[in-house]
Order: sequence, then structure tokens, then C-alpha cells
Amino acid sequence: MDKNSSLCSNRPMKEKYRIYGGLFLSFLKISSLTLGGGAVMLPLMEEEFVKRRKWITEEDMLDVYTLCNTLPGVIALNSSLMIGRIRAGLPGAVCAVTGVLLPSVVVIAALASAVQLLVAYPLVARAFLGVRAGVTALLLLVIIGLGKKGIRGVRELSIALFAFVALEIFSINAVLVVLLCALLGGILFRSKREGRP
Amino acid sequence: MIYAQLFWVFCKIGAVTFGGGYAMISLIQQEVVSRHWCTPGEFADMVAISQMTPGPVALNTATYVGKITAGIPGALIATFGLIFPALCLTTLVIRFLEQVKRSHVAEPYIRGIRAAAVGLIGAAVLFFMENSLVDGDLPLDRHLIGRGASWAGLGFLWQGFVIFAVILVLKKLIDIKPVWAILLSLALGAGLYTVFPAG
Repeated sequence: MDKNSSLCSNRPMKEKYRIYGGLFLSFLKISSLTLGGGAVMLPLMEEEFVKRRKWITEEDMLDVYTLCNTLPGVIALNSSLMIGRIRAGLPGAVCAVTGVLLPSVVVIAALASAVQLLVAYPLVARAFLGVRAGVTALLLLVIIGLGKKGIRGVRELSIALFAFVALEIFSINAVLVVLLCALLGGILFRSKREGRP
Repeated sequence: MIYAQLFWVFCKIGAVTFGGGYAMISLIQQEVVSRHWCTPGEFADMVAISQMTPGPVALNTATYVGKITAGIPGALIATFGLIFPALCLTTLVIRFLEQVKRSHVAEPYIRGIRAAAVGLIGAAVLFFMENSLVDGDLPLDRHLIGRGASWAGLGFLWQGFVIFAVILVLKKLIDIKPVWAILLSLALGAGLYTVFPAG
């Protein structure tokens, strides 16, 4: 991957700006077309950057997948940063991240003001009362999907239950709950790793 | 200083959440509702809207909270706060890519956080059930128990159950896209609660 970034530093200025522009526009396109977030965007990125444009290799993409799963934060942003960085160094990363951010920030900023005004109308308020029930259903399915993949044993289950009880019944600060769960994970999962060759 | 507060709150959340946005919902909810930046009801609306607009849910929610608390600068600062820790870490990690790939030091901790995400989303499900499927707050929280809330005092909102069931079935049967699910629940909510008012 360093090979690629050093390649572009030797290119003429005009070509460089074309690459930055391309990165920005590609990510702008992917971000405005995906609803729901990072997990949906990764396959689209692979299609666009590995298969269609051949900007990065299959192996680079694999690194992106692995790292996105081990770093904190929003997957969509971490992956765009990495792809931009691999393709065109730090300025490339900035262009990619800006492309991802722009559509959602603009749409939300506009909608936020509109919704605040609209909720004053009883019909809109009733519609939003209904939407919560819909969101409950969507989140329930998210948690079932995650549970099937992520909860593989008693240890995972007890950490999940601990997080739920700490947050919901004891109202412990959520950031603290996550840190405690990380610590619990460190204790519970360590022994198994060391047992392997 | 509201801008500094926005940055700090979202920076904290961005630093401790792994593997996607849904686990962030409970964290954001607790931070912003306890600071009175919005009411629980407003927060619920925000998450719904964040699911039907482009971009990651957590990011959209951060932008939204920033916008209603401190205008456009607030929106930008909250968004930047959320992504700041990840940007720093990613930039750092990419320099030491090979070493990071080989080392497994962080793995057990990350597995812990992954498992916690399921519990955190569970809390978010409960939050959305309150005032949509049941009429009021579920008396799980110790503060509520102290105030004399009880299971007996809860009413059930059958209109909510209908919408909940419709979305669940449509998602399972034809894998309806979140944006259509949200729009449909808005329409059903407007229709059902107009014909059969709650309470």
C-alpha cells in the first residue's frame, strides 16, 4: 500500500488533483446512495474501488475489513479514510472522508430544522408516535442478527446481560459500562487465547 | 461552553464504540437526555429520521443533536467529535499495519465490547418500546421504582403493536429497506392515531 502512495507523490500536480477529485466524488456517490450505514457501504466500496476502478488491490480491501473491525468508531468513516489514504496519502484520506460526510450532514441539518417546525402539527406528531413502534421492530431485528453472530457462548451472553442491566436498571454511565465490558472481555477471553499455539 | 461540551461528549462516544453505529444509540441517548439537550421523545424522532437519511445512523444522530443544540456550527462540531478518535487511531494504525495485523493483544477486550453492544442495543429497544408499545416508562430503572411507577399502571398501545408487527413481518418476509419501513410507520402512525386517538 505504501507503494501506491509513493507513486502518486511523483505524479504531476494536475493528475494528483484528478485523483483527489475522483476519490471525493466516488465517496460522495456511495454515501448518498446508502441508507443505514457502514456494513452496507463496504461491499459497495469493494465493487467501486477494487473491481471497477482498480484503485486498490483485493488485499488492501481485506486489510480495510480487518482493521474496521478492530478500531473504534463508525465503519463507513474508518474504511473511507483508509481507502483514501492507500490511494493518495493524507490529502486523499481527507477528500474521501469529506465525501462520505457531506451528504448526511447537509440532509440532516436541513431536516432537523424542518422537523422541529412540523412536529407542532398534530398529524405530524401522531406520525412520529407511530414511527417509534417501527424503529422498535427494526432494532429488535438488528439485535437478533447481532446476537446470532456475536453471542457464541456463556461468556458473551453474560457480558451482554451485564451491559443491559448496568445501563437499564442501575443507570450507570454508558461510557463506563463499555469500558467495564472491555475489561471483562480482557479477563474472560484471555485464557483461551494463551492456550493456543 | 456548548461547543466544547458537544465535542467532548461525542468524542467520548466515538472512542468507545466498536463495530458500527447501533450500539452508539444508547450511549448518545444517555448523554444528551441527561444534559437536557433534548427530551427522550425528541431523541426518538431523531433516531427515526437518522435511519431514513443517507449515511451512518450514529453519525446522523450526532449531526442532528449538534444542529438542534447549537445550530450549524454545533452540527459540524458534534460530527467531528464523533469521528475524531477514530480518525486519529486509523491514521496511526495504518503506519504500523503489519505489526497490528499480527498482534492480538486487543482481541479479548474488543470481544468484550462486541458482546456489550448486544446489551446496549437491547437498552435502545426498550427505550423505543416505552411510549410506543406501552403507555409510559417501564419501571425497570431504580429512579422510576422509587417514584412509585408500577407494571400495573402501564397501558398498552395497540396501535403501536400493529405498526410493530407490520414492520417485523414485512422485514422478515420481503426484507423491506429501513427507509421504507420508517416512511410506512410514519404513515401508519398518522392514520391509526387519527382514527383511534391514544388514551
